[in-house]
Amino acid sequence: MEVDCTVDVYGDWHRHFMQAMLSQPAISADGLKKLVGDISGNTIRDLDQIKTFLLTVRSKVHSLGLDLKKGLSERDGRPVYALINTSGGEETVACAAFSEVQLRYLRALIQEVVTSVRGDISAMAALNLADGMPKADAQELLRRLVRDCWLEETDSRLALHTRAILELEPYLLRHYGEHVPRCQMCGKITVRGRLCEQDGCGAKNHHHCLGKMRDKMGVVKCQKCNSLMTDED
Amino acid sequence: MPRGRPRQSQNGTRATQDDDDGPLSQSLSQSQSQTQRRSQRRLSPVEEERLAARVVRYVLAAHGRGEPLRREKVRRLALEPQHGGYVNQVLQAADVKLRDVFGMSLEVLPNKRDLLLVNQLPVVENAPPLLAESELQKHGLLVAILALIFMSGDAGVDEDTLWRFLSKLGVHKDHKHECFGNVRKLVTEEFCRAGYLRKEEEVVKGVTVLRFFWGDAASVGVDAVDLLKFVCTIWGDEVEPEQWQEQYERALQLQEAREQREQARQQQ
Ligand SMILES: [Zn+2]
Ligand SMILES: [Zn+2]
Repeated sequence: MEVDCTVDVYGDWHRHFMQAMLSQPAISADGLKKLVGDISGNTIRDLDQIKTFLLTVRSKVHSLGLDLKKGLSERDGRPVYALINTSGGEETVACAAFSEVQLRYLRALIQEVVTSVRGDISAMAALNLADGMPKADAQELLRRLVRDCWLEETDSRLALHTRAILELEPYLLRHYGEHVPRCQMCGKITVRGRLCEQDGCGAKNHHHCLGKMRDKMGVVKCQKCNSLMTDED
Repeated sequence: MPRGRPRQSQNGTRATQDDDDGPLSQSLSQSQSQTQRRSQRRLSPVEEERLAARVVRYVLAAHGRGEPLRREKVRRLALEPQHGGYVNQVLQAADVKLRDVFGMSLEVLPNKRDLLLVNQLPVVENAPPLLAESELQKHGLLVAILALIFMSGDAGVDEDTLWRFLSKLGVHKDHKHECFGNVRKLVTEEFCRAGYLRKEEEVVKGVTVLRFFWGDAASVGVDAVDLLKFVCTIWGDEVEPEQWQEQYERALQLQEAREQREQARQQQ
């Protein structure tokens, strides 16, 4: 690797990194650390250097309407990094070069997932949403959406992938604001989370954020209405 | 596959400024004044930047899904209708951006219809794989096929030879491969659609068979010298690229053509 590469001046390390990010829709924190290490011949190892490296990347890609963002998975709370389009949902959806029919299907899927109580739908329900396309095509498209980290599948249930939530946040807020309230603990929008059972409260918090509270305080309390929440099973 | 593997940097072709295939340019009597007006009027730097970013985002999105990049589609999806006449200015600006941020160039293929992203970063020893496992394997399969065709000379390779060759590598046309899925479809459709392979039908003894050649995307996006090195690593240490005199010369010619295109681009 070139000797004159540095952490905070955009150069070939950063370009290699960006190419690598293009070939994976999302990457774990460990994966990211390893990638940056590999690319720099293990020159960039400690956390501060990685942070500087990422800042350099982020300020470079902003002018392209792109960003490298970190989100916590709504499934398990683990950090996920993804290169996303920040130009605001609508274009993202359109830019994905789906056909009109596929686009309509994708929008319907997002709507169904986001407005569902648990923030996920069964694979069967997802298939049944297909309108104007053969089941086999819908199945193929669903596979693609999972592969490209629009959706994630757990036990035959489909939810929005962390990458998709990061990218679609403006779109989700615009169209489904009341279904994706901000989590009281982390401040991020919540698609999959736990609804407060108290009448008229309407707070929704991430499972992993509530879990952290339980670990720290021994109980889980709604931050909005102060009512105690029973343990989830 | 379209995601470029890192390799020696090369070249780029550039569409010329007035090569516009809009409806107006089809009428010769009108086209002169139109062309003049267009070449005098350029987008403002701010507009150029905004539209180039849009094109970059579109190109990356399509590239990531392994879709062929069509110039016409870029015009339709990434540019607003009133900017159709500036497509070359915007593509050039997008190319500059892509080189700067990703170390990739946006090439216009000789057919003027397709675009291709080509890696411009130097090869790095022990670099992490830039492709997902399955893409990496697909790339390997493509390289093997391109190598076979390259070694066979200008006549291309008929279907039978191709499948016999691949079966030696453990890839069978009628089996569902765990990584490639439907191999026949991947080779005869996907690789061809992406422009890496070109297929021609010919009739032999009353039966229609396919013959495969290098596609335009392979000529621009794959380094033949690298390919020969790949072939040599398969055949063993004792073989050097120079030993395939004819192929080696052709590879050098291809490389030279690339370098010339790159120089022409830089002088522009
Ligand atoms: Zn939260
Ligand atoms: Zn509450």
